[in-house]
Amino acid sequence: MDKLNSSVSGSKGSASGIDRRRFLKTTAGAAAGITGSLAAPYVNAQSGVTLRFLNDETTAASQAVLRNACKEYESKFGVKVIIDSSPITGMYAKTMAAINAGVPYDLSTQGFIAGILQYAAAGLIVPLTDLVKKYSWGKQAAWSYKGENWFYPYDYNLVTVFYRKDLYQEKGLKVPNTWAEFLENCRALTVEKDGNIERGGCVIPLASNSSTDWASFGNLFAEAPKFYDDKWNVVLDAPENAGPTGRFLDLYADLYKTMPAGMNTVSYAELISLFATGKVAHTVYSGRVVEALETRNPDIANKYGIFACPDSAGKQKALSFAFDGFILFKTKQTEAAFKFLEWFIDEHYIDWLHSAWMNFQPARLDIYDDPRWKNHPMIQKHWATMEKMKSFIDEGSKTILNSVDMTGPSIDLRPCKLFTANIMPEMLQNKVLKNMSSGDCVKVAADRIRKIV
Amino acid sequence: MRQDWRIISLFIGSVLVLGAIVGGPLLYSIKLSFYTASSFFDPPRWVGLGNYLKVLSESLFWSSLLNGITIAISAIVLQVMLGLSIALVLNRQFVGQTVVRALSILPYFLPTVVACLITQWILDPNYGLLKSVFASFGYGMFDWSGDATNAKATIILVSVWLWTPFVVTCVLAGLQSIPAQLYEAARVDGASAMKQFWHVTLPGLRSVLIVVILLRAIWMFNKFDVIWLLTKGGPLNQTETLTTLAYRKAFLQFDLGGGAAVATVSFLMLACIILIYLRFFPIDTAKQGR
Amino acid sequence: MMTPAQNQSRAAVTVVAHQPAERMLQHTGGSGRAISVVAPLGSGGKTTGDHGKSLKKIVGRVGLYVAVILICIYSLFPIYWMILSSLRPPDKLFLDTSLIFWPPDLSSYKSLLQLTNYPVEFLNSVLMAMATLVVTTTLSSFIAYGATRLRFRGKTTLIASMLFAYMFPPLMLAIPMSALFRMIGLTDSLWGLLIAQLAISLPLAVWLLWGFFKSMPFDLEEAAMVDGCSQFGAFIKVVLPLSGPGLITVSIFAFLLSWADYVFALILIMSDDSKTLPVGLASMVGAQDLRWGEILSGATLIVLPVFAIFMFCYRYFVAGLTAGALKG
Repeated sequence: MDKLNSSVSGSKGSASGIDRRRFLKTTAGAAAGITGSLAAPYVNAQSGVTLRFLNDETTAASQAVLRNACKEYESKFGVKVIIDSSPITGMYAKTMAAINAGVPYDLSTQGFIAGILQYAAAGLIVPLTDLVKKYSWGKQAAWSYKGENWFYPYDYNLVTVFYRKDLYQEKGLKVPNTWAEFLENCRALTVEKDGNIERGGCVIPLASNSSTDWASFGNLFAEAPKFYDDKWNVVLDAPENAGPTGRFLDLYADLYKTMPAGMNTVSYAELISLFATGKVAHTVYSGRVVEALETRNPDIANKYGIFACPDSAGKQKALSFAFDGFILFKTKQTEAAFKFLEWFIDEHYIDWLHSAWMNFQPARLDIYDDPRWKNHPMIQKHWATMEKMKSFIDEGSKTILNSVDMTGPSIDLRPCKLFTANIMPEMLQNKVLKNMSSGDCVKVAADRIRKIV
Repeated sequence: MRQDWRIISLFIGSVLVLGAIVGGPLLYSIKLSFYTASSFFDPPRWVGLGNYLKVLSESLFWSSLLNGITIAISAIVLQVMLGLSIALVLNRQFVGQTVVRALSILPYFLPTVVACLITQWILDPNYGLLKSVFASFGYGMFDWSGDATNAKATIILVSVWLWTPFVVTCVLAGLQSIPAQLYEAARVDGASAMKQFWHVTLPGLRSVLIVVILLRAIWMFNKFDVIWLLTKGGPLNQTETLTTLAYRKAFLQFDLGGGAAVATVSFLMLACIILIYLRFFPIDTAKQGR
Repeated sequence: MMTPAQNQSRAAVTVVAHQPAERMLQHTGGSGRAISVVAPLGSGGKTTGDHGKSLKKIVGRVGLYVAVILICIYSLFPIYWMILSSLRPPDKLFLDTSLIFWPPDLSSYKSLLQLTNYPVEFLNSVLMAMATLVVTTTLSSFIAYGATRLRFRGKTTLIASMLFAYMFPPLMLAIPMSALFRMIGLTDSLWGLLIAQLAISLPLAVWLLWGFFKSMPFDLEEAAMVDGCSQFGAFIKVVLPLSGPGLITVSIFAFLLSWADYVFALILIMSDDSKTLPVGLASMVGAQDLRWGEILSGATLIVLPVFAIFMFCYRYFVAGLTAGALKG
């Protein structure tokens, strides 16, 4: 074991020395607590060298990179890494169920701050501050909570609006600067036939899961209503915030009329497939849309464009967003897991990013200049899109980046609860499925937020 | 007969295994419903009837109960009506009767997951078969998952498709026990086919139907997989039933005690309903002659 | 409090279970012949050769065949559509709704086997189903035989308690099991799943076999025992071979219960490598890439073994079904 230590940290220089000490300190207590109170942690007890990695990047390419890396790691260091993959919508439940069942994962990918903060607050994960501090990061990526970085991001998932350039040209439309223009464009591009929407104007998710929290509120963030005041009192239903939020709901209800049927169950997969099959003129998603277009409908891959969500008056733009990154759980084997993570980042980070070449928009700024990454033929082909995506995360960018789990005066646990309780999706559902008035929807949502924060 | 120790010990051993894997969890479930685990690491705390009081005070519990009853009753009524009709048709003589009978019970043996996936595929609002069919007649596709009524109807229809064969098979078997002379006598009296159905067939099937309805009611009320696979209780909890609620509490909100309380209450309610049912429709075994 | 209910519901299932099931099995030629005993409503009998009556008869026949065809379409079309869609070329899947086409395209199946964890899940499912089958059949035959032949108090209670398995909400077993398995280290393990599936299949199997053993004449064993055979020997050499139909029915239903189980696998299994087919397939729907072709070919592959058994063992399916051996 000691031999392994030195060989790994030797290749890495100073950083891991500090970390190691710190880990011994932070993890020993936690591990004892966890394993003591939950009888018989089955896998852990078997041996010290089997790590469990929960992965939410479910595409075949990403899974293959992980599998290969784990094989290589096992043959080099004798540490087995078991990979479990789960769709992102089931990650939180699966992580908690594993902890609850006494077989916690040692490390995992994580797509939402909500999850990370809840784990951090419950003392389930360990900080990765030293690892993060080694690089420079895009806007907001190196966020900290209680003075530590808990998360090693690999990508941004900015929710940009994808539109069809060919259709815009056909109808003589231009990229919208206001809500009204956006709605007009969606209406203009909606095609109805026999009572069915043959081509939807747009698709913006509505289901009670993280896809809605992630992707549906860009237009609201551009209007920038406050959810909380500086002391975390809920002010969403105060007149100055209820007004814009209500108007946003009206906008959503109008947009909803241009969407194809079945929005209640629309989740990540459909946001992409509807656009890739030409069933909608706009969709909201990260770069993964481009990858899907290239494999499924290369024709559209030459005709799409992206823009950020406008506000009502044309003054500012915003993007809803999330990161993906790695977190490390407090287990008996956190140290071994840390070593694996460090090794993976050194050896396979670029492969990993390439496994979803457009979706994994790098969070680490040095990657953008790394020829190994940049020379991927597809990244080259869609460089204009990538540059635009990068412009949103540059420090000087004026585009607001926000997310349901990051609303409020600081990074905090409170908005995260709002995120996992599906309050925001249900606010939209109350508006369009139950036909409640916008004011009532906002009031109901605000009351529910008050209850949980 | 001599009692063989090998038979006795194998019997006792097997009964103990069975008792441990069925009885154990059941008792533990009742125990769990009196405890709460406020966080994942603290030891469970005794709360007495706390979980029950909390659960019963939630409006979601009562709406779930109502949804469960609605879904179960509608599904049973349809299953029995359809099952009776199909059985009466299949009871006639025609070419290929054996094959058609076999094919008609095939859906029952489909894993629920498969049936739900087929349903979602056929009803897919954008690519589904039904959408194309509607479109060819010039109608718009309905949104099966976005509206409480449609979502419930979909759950009910899938249940009917999957489990009607149980009714068909039992009714077919029951039809055999009706003596042919009764029909003869009815015909001599000049009874029409309709009258024969009301006065001979239905009374003859009475005891079979009572049992079939009881069993179908129990199973429908306890149904989890169809609902979870199709709607996950949505939209806005409008297809939530006690079973999905118990699952949600225990495994998504990590409130094992609450989940166990919901499951126990639903079990008790079911037991009451069955007792009442049996009071109104006593099962007369003597008449059945076995 | 429960006793009257127990007795009544026991009687309840007896009615369905034990007469038709046995009758079905005893009929050598399957059910086709059995039913013909009953005079069908209104048809047959004396036709007077009256013109109006024979026209009515023809209309009746046509109506009957129309109804039969409708029943076939209703029962089979969804299954046909699933298989058809799984064989459609992926680029046509979303556009083409023709009811018949040629040639079939296997690319959905290929990518299912290459890109997903399907082979592992298939293996897990086979493993679970076979283990459930073997253990259920063995243990239930011991219990059922003992319950019919041994003299002890509380036999009725034992058999009645089997029937209570009908009433349990599945969550009432799954919730405590997930907690208990945590204590004994069976979380996320196929062993735990096996226990859960046994908890469902065993009571039903005992109930079914109890009926079989009860109706089997005691004379046969007694004759063997007079010839110097022990009771155990008589059980193995005489009773078991003669209860072939009962044992086959029980095996089939134990297999099906495990093969189709979604609830317990969903709750008790977390790792991809231990997932069984129903859960694995259902989780493909929520993934980032919507692959209906692969999902439907996976569904078809789940169903194929069931259909194969069904074709060869139809009469046992009917027998088990009337006995309520498969919860639905």
